[in-house]
Amino acid sequence: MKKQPTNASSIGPNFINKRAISRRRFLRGTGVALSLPLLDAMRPAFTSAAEEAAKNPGGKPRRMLAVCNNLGILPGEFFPKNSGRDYVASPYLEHLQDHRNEFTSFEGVWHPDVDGGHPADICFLTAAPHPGRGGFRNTISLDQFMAERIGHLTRVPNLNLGVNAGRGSRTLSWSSTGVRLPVEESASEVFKRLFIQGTPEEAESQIRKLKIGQSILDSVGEQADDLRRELGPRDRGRLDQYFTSVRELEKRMAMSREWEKQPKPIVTAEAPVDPPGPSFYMEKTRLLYDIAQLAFETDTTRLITIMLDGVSTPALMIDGEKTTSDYHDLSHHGKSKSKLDQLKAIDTGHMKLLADLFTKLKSVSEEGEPLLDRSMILFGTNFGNANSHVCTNLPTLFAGGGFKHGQHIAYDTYRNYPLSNLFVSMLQRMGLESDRFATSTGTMRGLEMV
Amino acid sequence: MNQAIVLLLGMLAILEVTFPLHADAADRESFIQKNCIECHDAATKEGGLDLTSLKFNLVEPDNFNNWARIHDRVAKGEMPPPDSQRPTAAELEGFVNDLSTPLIAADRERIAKEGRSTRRRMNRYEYENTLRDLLGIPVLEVRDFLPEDNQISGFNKVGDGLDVSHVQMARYLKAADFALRNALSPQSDPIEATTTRYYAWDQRGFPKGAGPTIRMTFKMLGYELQARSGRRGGANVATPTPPAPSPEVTHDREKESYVIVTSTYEPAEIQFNSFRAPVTARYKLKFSAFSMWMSTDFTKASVGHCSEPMTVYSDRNPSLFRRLGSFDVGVEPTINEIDVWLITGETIRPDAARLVRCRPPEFKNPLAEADGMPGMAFQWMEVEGPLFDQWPPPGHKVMFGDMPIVNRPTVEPVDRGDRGDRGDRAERGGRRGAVDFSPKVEVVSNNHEADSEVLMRRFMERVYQNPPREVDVQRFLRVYKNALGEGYNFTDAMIASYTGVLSSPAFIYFDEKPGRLPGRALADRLAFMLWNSTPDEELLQLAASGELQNPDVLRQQTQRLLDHSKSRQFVNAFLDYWLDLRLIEATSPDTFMYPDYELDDLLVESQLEETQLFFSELLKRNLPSSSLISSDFAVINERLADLYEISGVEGTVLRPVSLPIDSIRGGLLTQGAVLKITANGTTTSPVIRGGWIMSRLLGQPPPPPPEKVPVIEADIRGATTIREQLAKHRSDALCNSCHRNIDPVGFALEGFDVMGARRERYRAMTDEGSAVKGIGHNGQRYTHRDGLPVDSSGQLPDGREFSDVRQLKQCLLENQEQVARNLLQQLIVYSTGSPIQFSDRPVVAKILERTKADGYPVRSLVHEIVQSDLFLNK
Repeated sequence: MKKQPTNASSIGPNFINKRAISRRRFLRGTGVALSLPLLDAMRPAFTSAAEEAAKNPGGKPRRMLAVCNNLGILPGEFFPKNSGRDYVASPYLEHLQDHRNEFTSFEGVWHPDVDGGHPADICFLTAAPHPGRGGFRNTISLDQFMAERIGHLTRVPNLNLGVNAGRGSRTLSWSSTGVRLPVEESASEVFKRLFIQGTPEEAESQIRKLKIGQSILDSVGEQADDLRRELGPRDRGRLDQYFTSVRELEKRMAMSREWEKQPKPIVTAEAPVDPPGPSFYMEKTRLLYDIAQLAFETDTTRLITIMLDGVSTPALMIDGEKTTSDYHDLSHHGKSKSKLDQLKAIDTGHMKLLADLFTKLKSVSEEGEPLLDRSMILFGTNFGNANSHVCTNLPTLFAGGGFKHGQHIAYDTYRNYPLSNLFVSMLQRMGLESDRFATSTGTMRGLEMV
Repeated sequence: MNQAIVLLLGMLAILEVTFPLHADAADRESFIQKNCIECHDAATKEGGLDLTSLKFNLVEPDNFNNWARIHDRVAKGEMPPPDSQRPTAAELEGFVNDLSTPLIAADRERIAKEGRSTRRRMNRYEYENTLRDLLGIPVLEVRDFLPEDNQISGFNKVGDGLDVSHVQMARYLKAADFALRNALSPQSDPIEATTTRYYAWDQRGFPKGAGPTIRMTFKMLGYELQARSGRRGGANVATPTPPAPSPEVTHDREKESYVIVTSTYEPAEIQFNSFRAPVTARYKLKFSAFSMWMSTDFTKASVGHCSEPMTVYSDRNPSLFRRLGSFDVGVEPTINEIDVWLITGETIRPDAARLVRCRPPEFKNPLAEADGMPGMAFQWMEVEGPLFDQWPPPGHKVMFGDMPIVNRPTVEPVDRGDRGDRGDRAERGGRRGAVDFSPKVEVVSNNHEADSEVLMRRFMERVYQNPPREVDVQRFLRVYKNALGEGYNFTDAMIASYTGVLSSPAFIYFDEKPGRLPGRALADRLAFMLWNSTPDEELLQLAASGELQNPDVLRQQTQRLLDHSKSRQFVNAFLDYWLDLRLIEATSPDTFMYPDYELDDLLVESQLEETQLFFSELLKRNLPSSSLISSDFAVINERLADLYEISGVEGTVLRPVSLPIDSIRGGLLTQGAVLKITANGTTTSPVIRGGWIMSRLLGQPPPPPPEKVPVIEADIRGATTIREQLAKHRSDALCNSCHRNIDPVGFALEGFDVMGARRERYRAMTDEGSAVKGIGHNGQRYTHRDGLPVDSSGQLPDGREFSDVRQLKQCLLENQEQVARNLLQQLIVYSTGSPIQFSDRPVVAKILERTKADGYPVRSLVHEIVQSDLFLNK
């Protein structure tokens, strides 16, 4: 991988930080170079106050990273014994106590009727019931719902990433038509796509498509304008709404075209090197977290999902040693001490990676605010207890993003509370007017915005 | 009060400007002064109503609604309150008439000016059906591209709710592009149909070995189980082992089968995977299978004990399933044929629907007996197809007529999947999710300019409701030219412009202008009512010639559309919203409390079909509206008969079955779908069920509960019944004012559990009471306790008592007009795209009067609506 140019003059005057960072530092994950805030670069194209406001529906850029570990988290090690702000940290949460006020843990949550064992992971962000049944069809995932509304604000609407994701079959990201949006696994390839300039032909082809889309919108918009003139006030209101929607979509397409013309952000870090195989599960996870951090810092995208597929993960490296059997086998631990110890090591590894990610996102600031406070991070699983494949009482962790954290919220562990309510809270934090998502019944009870 | 009079006089002066003050108005004022003003003055404002400041200016919608409400409360006898000094009957009638006359007049005036309905667009179901019909692809899946539509008055048919956002707009572009590309001919030359047999033994989708033996599949020759070959966990099958069939098969292939004793549950998902539909088209599928009996230790097979239902799904990566059909498989090898449309890349997944869905961690079989368990032996599937009725396919002709077609240079000829190895290749492609929908052909145009104009005009004439305007033709040709300028070829550039046409307001909005609907708009109304889709050629011709407006022709067309198989789309679309049938999967039986129902797709699919076919039956036989409450038949199959405890019904096909005279079934109230939709999977509530029946079947939606009243929390510990909890609730006079209307109907339905089976006792999750143990349909052991007994009796607000649902039905049948009025009004909203208006009332009353003698029969109500001014005018 070639080192990236550090000369900013070809980009414009908006660089804020260009620390040269060695590859080793990147791989250690202690710091990442910044590039330009792209929205500033685009300011000339979109100048009105209303348009400014529309760029950040939540008042400021808001981001989301959602991670699902599809083999669960040992519930006994994760859940604190008491709830509230004065909870006593559980063994797992102990690793995150440096960030105690930046996250909330939830107990007694589930996705209603999302059962069926392993297949439930694909519903982590969709909450579509009964993934195991014969006629199942998935529904739109949270990230895709958001991407349709804010995806045009960044160069890349969203990233779907995965670790050992079942040779492409597992993903958190689903379209409105229930179509799987496959993950990208290779940190190096994602890095290349986000931060290394593409060929002019690729950009041209995309611009061409957008141009034709705009041409269609011109035609249907003109027709709407003709038709509305013939109508009475009540009917005209309907055509006015159509007309407005056409204009809004045109603006989005225009922004997308602008993105195609803008050079990609330049980071001074060298590209990551993909680990040699699936047993480097933890290392792969860490590299994707680094990518997430880079993408958020450069505002390349604001929406990222990561599917951690343990089911397809062989015996893996943890603390420099290989586990005795594959991850799936470990998860059916049957209370064997040896297996439980190894699972604890894996889970603890995840907690430490999260702690590192929180630290890094805290250390970077955007408009004087820690990036973590603008980045919602959801870490959870489809299994309440992988040993018995149950999909209730999901261990769930939620950090950053501008909420009043620092507590353990426990709901009824028999009659679980819908996790989609958290999704509604997240949508509202994004500044999107939504009062429901999938099986939600409201916003997340007990979780307040800052 | 003096002040109020001064105010009122001032107000009357203003009033005169907007409404002539005549004798009626004076009477009205004196009635108000005498009977209403004491509570409804500026100071007291009882119920938020201040009559001293309420103008009488019916042109304003809010003002109109206020007076309409005053009219209704007085007409119903709710106002002035019963405990106050009541005016005489004559005074009341006079007041009501004095109000209704100007209200109706004002409403009619408004309707004359702007129409009853607001301009509306197609909803997502209508858009999909329309594209399917226009392009001749009945399996085109575009609905899910579009966001959910809002409902008004319960339906997704009312203009004010059918919004368009930029997301919707973007989705139109995607959906239309997708539809058009799918309609393009798959190759230049006609595709010949072939007939190929796929033996289960040859399918990689049949051998299953993970987990306990019960989840495995077993190779069988005759009734001899074959050895497994080195698969994980499969060692415990120890039958005598003939060698695995070598490439040159020496045995009789008709003796081969693959046996499974469970129904589909990951990873036991069997597939005829070496077949993948090479193109979207019609196919004939034949299945050979038989039901068998497997010994408890999985070592011996013998003749089955009874027939088994098989459901067939199509399966496309990633996990996109469609139910294609179901049939019965006998104990002798049975061949069943279904005629279906398949989508490119779909494979076939059969499901032995009755068998246990083995869910971890327990793997028990509720169907097991001492000497074994039922199983299904799959032999082969034969595919005939792809079948095309014309070439190029109809959708292609709509776009490009008969212009010459050539294959695109990079495209390989269509893989028919008629040989195993090729099928495997198709499968591998599919595994990568790489079903390729890119265009395979292009049309040859020697004169781009002339051809594009001819094609564009013809396309717009075909898909638009009205003849295309020249300016629009040029607009969309501009898209074509821009696309050509950007380097698109002729075909792709035309598709880009057609995408615009199918996303344009002239296509997605219904063109209805105030007054009488012209032929085409009327044809649209009729077709979108009775087919939920666009008119066909015959209807279009009658619209164009003006004959459709002839009442006799209109009636005859109504008959024709109702008798057509597409009328099922009407039934489904209407019931999806009227009865919430679209929500039948919204909740599921609780895993712990009702595992005997868990993942019972056969049951849920049958429940849905039952209610749809029941309504179809009422339409077909023109049965009285009261059948909705009570009927002497039910439309059921064996699975439903089992749920309903009715004997003598075998097989998976639903059909009308006469009910015993004292049956609790019959009518909608006791149908599984209704009882499931009105429960939440865990508990039932008389408030929810009662409220639902009041609003959906009796047309009396209960008002929303007052704020700050806590909801009654379901308690499944078994110590108290919902009825006892409600009794406390109803001892409060305020609560009781509504709950005395809502709850009783719900009480009668307490005798039915969350899936509609009869129950005498509640199930409880507690440690007390006698334990009921069993194995669920999901293969998991369960224990629940017998809870408190169910009490289905109640008393209606008018004092009539009933002891169970049968007696409740009798009470409801005493007011058949109420049931008919509600059905009529629901149909009016659905078919005219407008909520019920004040001035509709005389029309509704007249229709009821005319159909009363025959018991308000359902098909007659449809005819009456179609012939009414509500339907014939915007």
